[in-house]
Amino acid sequence: MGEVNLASDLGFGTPWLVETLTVAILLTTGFIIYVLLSTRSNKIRLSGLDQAKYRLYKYHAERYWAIFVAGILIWFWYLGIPWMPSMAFDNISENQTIHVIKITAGQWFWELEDGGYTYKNNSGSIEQAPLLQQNNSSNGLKLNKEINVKAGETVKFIANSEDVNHGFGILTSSKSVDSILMQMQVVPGYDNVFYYTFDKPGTYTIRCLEYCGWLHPYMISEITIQAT
Amino acid sequence: MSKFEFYEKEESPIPKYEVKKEISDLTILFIVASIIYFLIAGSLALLMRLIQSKAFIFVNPDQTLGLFYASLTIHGQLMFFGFISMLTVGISYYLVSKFGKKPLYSINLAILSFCFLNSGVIFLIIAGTMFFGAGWYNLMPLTFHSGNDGWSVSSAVIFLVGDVLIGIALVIFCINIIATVLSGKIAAGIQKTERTKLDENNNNTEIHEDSINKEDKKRDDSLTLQYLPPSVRWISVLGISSWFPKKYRTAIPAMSIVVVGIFVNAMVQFVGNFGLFIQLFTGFTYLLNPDFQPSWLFTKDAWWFFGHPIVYFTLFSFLGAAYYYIPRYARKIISYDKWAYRSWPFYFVFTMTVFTHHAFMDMPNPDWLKFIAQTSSLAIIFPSGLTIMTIMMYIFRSKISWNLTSLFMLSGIAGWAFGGYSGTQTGWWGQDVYLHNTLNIVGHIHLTILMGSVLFAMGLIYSIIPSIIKVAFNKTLGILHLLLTLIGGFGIAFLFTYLGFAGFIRREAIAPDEFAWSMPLMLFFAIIVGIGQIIFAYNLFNTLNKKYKFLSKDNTIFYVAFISTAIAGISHILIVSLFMGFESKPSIFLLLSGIIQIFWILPLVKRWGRIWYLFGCLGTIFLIYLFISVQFDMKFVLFFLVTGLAQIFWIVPYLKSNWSRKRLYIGIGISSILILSWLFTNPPEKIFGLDAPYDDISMSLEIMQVIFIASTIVLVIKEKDDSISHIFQKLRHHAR
Repeated sequence: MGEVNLASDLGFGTPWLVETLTVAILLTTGFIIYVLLSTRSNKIRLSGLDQAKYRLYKYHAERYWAIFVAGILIWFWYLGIPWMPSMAFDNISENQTIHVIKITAGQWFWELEDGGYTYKNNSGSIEQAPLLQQNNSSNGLKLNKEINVKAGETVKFIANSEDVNHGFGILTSSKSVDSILMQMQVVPGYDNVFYYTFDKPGTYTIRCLEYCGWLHPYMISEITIQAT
Repeated sequence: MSKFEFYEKEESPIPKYEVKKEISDLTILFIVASIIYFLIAGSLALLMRLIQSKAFIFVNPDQTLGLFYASLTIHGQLMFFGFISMLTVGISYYLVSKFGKKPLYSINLAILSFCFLNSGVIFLIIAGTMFFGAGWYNLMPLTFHSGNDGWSVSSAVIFLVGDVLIGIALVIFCINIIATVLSGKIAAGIQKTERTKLDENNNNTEIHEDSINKEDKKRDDSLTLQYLPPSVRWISVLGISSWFPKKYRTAIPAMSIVVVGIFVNAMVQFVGNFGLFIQLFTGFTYLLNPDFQPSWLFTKDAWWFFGHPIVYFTLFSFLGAAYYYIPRYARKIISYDKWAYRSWPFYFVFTMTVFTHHAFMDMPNPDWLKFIAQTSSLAIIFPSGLTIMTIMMYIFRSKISWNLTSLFMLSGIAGWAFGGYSGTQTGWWGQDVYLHNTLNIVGHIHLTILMGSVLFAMGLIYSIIPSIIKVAFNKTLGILHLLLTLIGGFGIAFLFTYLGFAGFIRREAIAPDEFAWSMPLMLFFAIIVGIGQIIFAYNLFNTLNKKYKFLSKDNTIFYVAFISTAIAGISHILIVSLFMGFESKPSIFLLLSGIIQIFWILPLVKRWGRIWYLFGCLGTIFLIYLFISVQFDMKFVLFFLVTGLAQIFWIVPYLKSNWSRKRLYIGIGISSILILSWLFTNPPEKIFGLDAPYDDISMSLEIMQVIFIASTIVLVIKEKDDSISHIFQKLRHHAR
C-alpha cells in the first residue's frame, strides 16, 4: 500500500485543537490584563516629547503586528493545503486497492452496503473486483448491516440521501476528546465521497451530523472493523 | 478600574450634530422592539436548557422533541433578525446621521424597514407556535420534509414569508444607508477623538465649561459637510485610501470611521441578500411545482451567501462605533489613525467570500470553492487582528474612564477575539472534519455574537440612549448586567466549545448519557445570563420611563391587567394548537375564549370604562371555574375550599387575644377532624379528574387569570366612571 494521506492524517487532531485554543485564550487574556494594568501606571498622561515617542511606538507596534499576523496566516494557509480533499484524496497511489462502501441515508436510518473493491489496472482505468459480501436491504430506525471491512484498508464511502441533507459521521464509541473520526454532508441528488482508513479494528458509531428532523438524535448505526 | 464615572459628568462623546428627532425616536423604537424579541428568544433558550436538563418534561416525548426543535429554530432566527439585526438597523440609522452630520436619505424608508422587519419577525414567532422546527438556517428541502408527524407545510410557508419580509427590510435598510452616504454632502475631513484639555491639564480632571465648548467647537469643525466626487468618496468610505502612501492618503478627506463601518456593513449585506432571495425563490418554486427538482447544494450555498454576511452584519456597525467611542473615553489624541481604516477593505472583500466554509463538508462542491473557503476564513482574521490590536492600543497607557460603554466594549473585544480563535480552527478544512456541526460551532457563534456583537451593542445602548433622552442609566444595575452576562455567557460558550471538542453533536435534543453531567451546568449559566438580561431590560425601560412616563402609577395596573389577559389568551390558543387540535367542541370554545382574552387588551389600553373591566373579570372567573370543574373532582375542590377557608379563619383567634379557651379547643378539635378526614379520603390520588399533559402551561395560564381578575377588581373599584351606576339606574327605572 502506497503512501496515502487520509482522514486519519487530516489536521492535527482534536487534542491539539483543545490545547492551542486554551493557550490562545490564556495569552489574549494576559495581554488584555497587561493593557488594563497599563492604564493604572504613572505614565498615563503623556505630553510633549513623550507623547510623540508614544505615537511613534504605537504606529510601529501596529505595523509589526500587521506583518506578524499576515505571516502567521500565510503559514497557516500553507499548512492546511495538503489537508484539502483535492490534495489528500488524490494522493492515493496508482495501484491502491480501494474498498467501496455505499451508504443510503434517509429520515431516519442509515443503510450500508458493501460495494466491493476497485483498483486501477495497468492502463490506468478503474476496475471493479467481485463483491465480497452482498447484503439484503431493509428499512428501520437503527439499521446495522454486516459489512466486512478490515483495519488498514482504504475505504471509499459513497453516500446518497433519499430525502433531506444528512451528515455522515463516524465516531469512536468511547467518548474521549477525539471522538469524531471523519464526516461529510450527504446532500440529496449527489454522490458524496470521502476516503478513510480505519487504523484499529473495533466497533465504530455512525451518527447523523446534520439536523434532519425531530428524530435526528436517533439516527444511529454502527460499523465493525475487523483485524487484518 | 476602580474609578467609574457617570455619563452626565462627561461631555457628550459624539459630535455636536443634533440628529433629527424623528430618527432618534425611531432608533429608540428599534431598541425597545429588539429587547422585547431578545427576551422572547432568551426564554426559548432557557426552555431548551430546561428540556435538555430534563427539568421540563411533557408526558409525550415527541412533544418534547418538537418543542425543543421549534425553540431552537425560533431562538436562532429571532436572535439574528428580531434582536441583533433590529439593533444594528436602528442604531446604524442614528449613527450614520450623527457622524455623517446629515439626515437620512429617506426617513420613510427607515420607517418602512421597521414595519417590514417587525412583521417578518412576528411571522417567525407564529411559525414557531405551529412547531416549525427546521433549524435557524432551514436547510432545504428539510423545510418541507419534516418526516412523520413533524411540522406542517403551512407552518413552513409562514416561516418563509417571514424571511421574505425580513429580506425586504434588510434591502431597504441597505439602500437607505448607501444612498445616505453616497448622495449629497457628507461629513469628511480629519476625525478627532481627543479630549485635548484633559491631556494638557495633567492633574486636573475638572474642565471649565467654557473650555469644553471651545474644544468641542474645535473638534466639531474637524469634520465638515463637503461634496466628494464619487471616486474619492468610494476610496474614502471603503477605507482604501488608508493603504495609500502618506502623500496621497492625506490628500483624500477621511469620513468618520463610524460611517465607514456602517457603509461597509450595508454594502456587504446588500450583496448577501441575493443569497436569501435565491433560497426563498427555490423553496417557493419547489412548493408550487412538485416536478421542479432544484439543486439543493446550490440552494444551500445560496443560503450561506446570505447566512455568513448576516453574522458580520451584527458586528460591523458596532465595530465602527467602537473605533470612535473607545479612544474617546480613553482620551487619546487621535486625529486620523490609518490603522483604524486599514481593516475595512479586507472586511468588505472577505465577508462576501467567507461563506464558503459553511459548505466545507459538502463533498460535491467544487474544490476551488473549498480553496476560497480556507483562504477567506484565514484572510478575514487579518483585519480582525488589526481591529483588536488598534483598539487595545487606544486603551494602552490611556487614562480611560471605565463607564458602562467602555467596559462592555472591552468585554466585547475579548469575546470576539476568543470566538475568532475557535473560528480559525474550523477555517482549516482538515480541522473542520473534527468540529463541523458539533457543539463547538455553537460555542463559536455564542462567543462571537453573544460575547462579541451583543456586548458592543449593549455598550452603545448605554451611551446612545442617555445622549438622546438626557437621562442616565442606573450604573449599579449596568455593572450587575455586565458581570452576570460575562459569567453566564462565557460559561455557556466555553462549555459548548468543550462539548463540541468531546464529540457532542449539534442539535441533539436528547443529550447522550456521557454528556448528561453538563446539562444542569449549562442551565445554571443560562439562568445567570437570563437574570442579567432581565436586569438590563428593567434598567432600560426604567430609564426610558423617566423620560416618557409611560409607567406612571395610574397606568401600572392597566399594564398588569392587559399583559395578564394577553398571556392567558395566548396560552389558551397554544394549548389548543399544540395539544388538543381544532376538532372538538371544547377546543373551539377554548380557542374563542383565548381570542376574546386577547381582544380584552383593547378596552384596557383604550380605557373603555368600568363595565368592560367588570365583564372581563366575570368572564375570566367563569373560565377558572370551568378549568377547576374539568380538571378536578368538584366534591374535593369544595371540600378543600371550605376547609381552607376554615383554616384561614383561625387566624382571628390569634389576632384577638380575648377569645376564650373553650373556642380554641373547638378549633383544635375541628382541625384534628379535618386532618383525619384528609387521611381517610386520601385526596392526592383522587383529586385529579383527568390527565392534563399541559400542566405547566395551564397552571401559569390560571395564575395569569387570577392576576387579571385581581387587577380588574382594583380597576372597577378605583375608576370614577359611572357607566355601571347608569346601567343600574336604567334597570331600576325600567323595573318601576
